[in-house]
Amino acid sequence: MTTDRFHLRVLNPTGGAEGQPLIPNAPRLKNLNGKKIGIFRNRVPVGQIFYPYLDKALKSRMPGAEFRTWEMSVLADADARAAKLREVADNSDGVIVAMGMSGGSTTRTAPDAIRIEKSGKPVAFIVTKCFRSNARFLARSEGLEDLAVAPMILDYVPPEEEIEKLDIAGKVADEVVTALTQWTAQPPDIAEVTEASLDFSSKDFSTAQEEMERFFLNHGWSDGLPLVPPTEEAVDRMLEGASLPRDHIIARFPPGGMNATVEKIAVNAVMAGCLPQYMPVILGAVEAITDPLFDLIGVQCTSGQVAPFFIVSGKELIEELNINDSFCAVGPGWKANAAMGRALKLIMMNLGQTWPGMNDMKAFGSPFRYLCLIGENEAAYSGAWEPLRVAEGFSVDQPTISVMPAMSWQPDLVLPTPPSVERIISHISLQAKVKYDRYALNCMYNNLVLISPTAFEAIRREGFSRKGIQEILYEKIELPGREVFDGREGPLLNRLPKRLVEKYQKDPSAAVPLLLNPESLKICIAGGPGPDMIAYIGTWGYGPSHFVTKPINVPGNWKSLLARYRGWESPTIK
Amino acid sequence: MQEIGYEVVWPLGKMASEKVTLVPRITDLKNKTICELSDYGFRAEEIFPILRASLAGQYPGIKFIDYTNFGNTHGPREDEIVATLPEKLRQYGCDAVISGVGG
Repeated sequence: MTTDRFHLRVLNPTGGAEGQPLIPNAPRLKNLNGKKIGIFRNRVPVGQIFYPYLDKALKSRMPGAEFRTWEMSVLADADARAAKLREVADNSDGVIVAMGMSGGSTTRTAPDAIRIEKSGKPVAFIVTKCFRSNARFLARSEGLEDLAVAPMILDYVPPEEEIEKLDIAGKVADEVVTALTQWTAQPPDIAEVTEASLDFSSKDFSTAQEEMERFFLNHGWSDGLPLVPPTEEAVDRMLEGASLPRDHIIARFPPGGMNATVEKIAVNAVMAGCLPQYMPVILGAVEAITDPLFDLIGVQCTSGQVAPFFIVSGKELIEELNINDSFCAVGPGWKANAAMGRALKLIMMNLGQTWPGMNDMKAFGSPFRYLCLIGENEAAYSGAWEPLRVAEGFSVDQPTISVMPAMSWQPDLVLPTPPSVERIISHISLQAKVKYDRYALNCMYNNLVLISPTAFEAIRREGFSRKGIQEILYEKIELPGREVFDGREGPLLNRLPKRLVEKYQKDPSAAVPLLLNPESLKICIAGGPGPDMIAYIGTWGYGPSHFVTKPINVPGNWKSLLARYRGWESPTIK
Repeated sequence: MQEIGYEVVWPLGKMASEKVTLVPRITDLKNKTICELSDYGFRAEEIFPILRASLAGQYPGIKFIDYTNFGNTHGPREDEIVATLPEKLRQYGCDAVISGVGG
């Protein structure tokens, strides 16, 4: 007797193995007597407290070893860093790399440990407990079999009295000795799936799809919502929206290091529920987030609550794709915005290989991480301002996608109505002062302001240009240096622009600007008319992540593509 | 070829409020009492006086009960204020209501 089965064959949404064999870890040292042990440490703020305890404990556990210490900021120039790491490796029998105590510091420091280990010297990487998996994951993504971590017993570096009471440094030193002498590589936390396609067989389509969903979820390939099966046919249809070959590599995706080919991007776009005509936007967005200026590895792995926030600029394209640029543009419930945003989230997960708690280490996360994509409401400018893409250096005929590393979402109603430009400026600057990043400040990168069409009417009436508003806001968004800088010493102060630090040191009560310069504040008109709304979107600031804009290039078959896949527009009440 | 069907369930709920027929409109506002209700926002303090002046010019004998007599219908005491409305509207001999301003 035969039983009919339904077979669902889908494509693997991850980059899969790249075919390169993993480099084995360096042999461990037989003993530490007479060995030269290099200590390479970053300048994380807690290091000032912890490193003296660590030095003392290491010397007590390794009395016969000779120690030499090198220090470097996690954000140091890449060439200087490579030279320093060579020097450390060349002058050491074994190396201690310290330390990871957050998503960002682990992600930026573990690669130093990996590089030294690859050069053949055994390494112990010190990390607070909860960031162990992040460090080990990075080793495999950099082609190393594993990384010997020397974890703390806590998830954080406690106050000094507790370091002493719990013998935190002594226990880390014991782990370091083990890591340098006895440690062996272990299998990865999540098993890798290298098959290009996967088969799910069941009694009918519905249960086969459930099997697929469960498998994808168990392997960290899902955002938890239902997925559209990425069958070969569906992916082929999605590729109609791309003019590039399916195996064309758009980028190597951090932190997992997988190649984001056009095909893999299309697989994830299918899963998110995209239409083929969304592909040009998604490809442009992938280019934007993988631009080194966006610092995607930082955005992916930081402990900070940052998410990419996308803005499409291009009136005709926005209309053709039915992207919401009006009421509820930021969300939810609009096919084009939701599906493209979700596709980018899945791409970041599956090609970047990130997973909450493993290497996506945000304390809270963010609702924006689903992700958010909006259209610029170009009609609302009424010709008074050039659109965002022109302000960012593109021609008016070139649609673009911009990405903002968004940390905060601060909408505000400007009262009384109708507002003056002075009131609008006052509300924006008030919001900017409420949420500036206490760690790195917002004064090094970009911030974003959304202005609703009705609020923009006041700006238009009073005749202010984009540049004029940016200049006024630069002047207004400032705080007394004492308020901003007090309590920031050493490494924290050194991260900031020298001119600001000098100004503060000369006169602590003098006002310092919270923006890098007028142009660093990006302004976009978006949303629906009605009350006068503004929204300040503050930057992340822990890493060098900038507002990045890329062109959106539609394929030659554009009009026929639109005609073929129409009928999916979200309903608009006229 | 075997035909496969899947049944799905309607995702919306039933309307919870009962349908009410609109009361007949007043054909002439002359000598009528108009009660004002307000959310105290969106420039109500400017808009209601303009309405009063305009309607008074068109409809002799029209009488307005200022919105401040009722309280803010969209404020922190909304439930309490709305509950008193039927009685208050009767007391004032209300013929029609202007409620605003939505913004």
